[in-house]
Amino acid sequence: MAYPPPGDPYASQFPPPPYGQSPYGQPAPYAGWGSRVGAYLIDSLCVAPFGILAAVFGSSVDPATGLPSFNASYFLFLILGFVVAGYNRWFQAGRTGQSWGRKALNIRLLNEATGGPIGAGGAFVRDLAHILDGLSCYIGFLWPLWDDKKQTFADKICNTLVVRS
Amino acid sequence: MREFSVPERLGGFGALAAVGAAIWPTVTAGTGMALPCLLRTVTGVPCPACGLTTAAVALVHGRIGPAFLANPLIFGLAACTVASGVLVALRAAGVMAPPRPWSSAQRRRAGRAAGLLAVASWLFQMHRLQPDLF
Repeated sequence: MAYPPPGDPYASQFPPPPYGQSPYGQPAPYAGWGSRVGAYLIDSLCVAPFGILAAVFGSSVDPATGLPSFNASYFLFLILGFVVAGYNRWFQAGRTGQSWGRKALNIRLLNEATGGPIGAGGAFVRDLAHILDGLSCYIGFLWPLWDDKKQTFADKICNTLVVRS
Repeated sequence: MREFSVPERLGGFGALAAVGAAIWPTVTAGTGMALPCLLRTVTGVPCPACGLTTAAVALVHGRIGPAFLANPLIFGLAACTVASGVLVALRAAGVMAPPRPWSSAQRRRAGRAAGLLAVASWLFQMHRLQPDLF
């Protein structure tokens, strides 16, 4: 029998379990480390052309000083790359849970408590929190390899999960 | 596909790291890229994982001595990679049963052992990179 039973007036007093805590010992569908890395690589590849274009068309060496110099194209391509990355990783991923890379690999970023998307601001803060994953000898990025919920430090700080779609 | 155990996942990471280490010198020569230790960059203090890139590159190119001097932890990862490769193959062939989750006591012991290894590695790296500090 399902619990709470249908028509139970006190049913609303029992909050749903946090996302990822499946009942009856079923395995939670957390995304694997490999698919998370793959999604990040795809997201990076989406902005890599802007960096290459900036380097090719926007940078040169000052003939007088011999130091690197940059023209307007350099900053234009960098800004374009930032806009594309922001749209993909913060705006779109915050609203839907899926950046282009996560969509390609069928994984999704969710709020641990609600099971819903974390919003653009949340996605931005989570990417900022990845700095801590790097500061700890990059161990934070490896933490999903052995963590019960396959979370990085950024996931734990921001209360987020990455799950299979 | 079944859920992989933690040692198997570490072994998979080790295999990926080996592939990365094999091509890393080519990548750095062409692009000037590097994988800096953020802790050391920010504070000047090395971390337990310092030298792992150097050690991995040396090991996949067969230079055992330099690999050990850079970071001995790489031999643990290499052993885990080889052992888990064998385990995954035997389990895929049905010779061995799939892995069982560790008990909480076993997980605690493994966590403590990993912590001790990290402390030992940190002392090693401080001695290697900051002999005046330690």
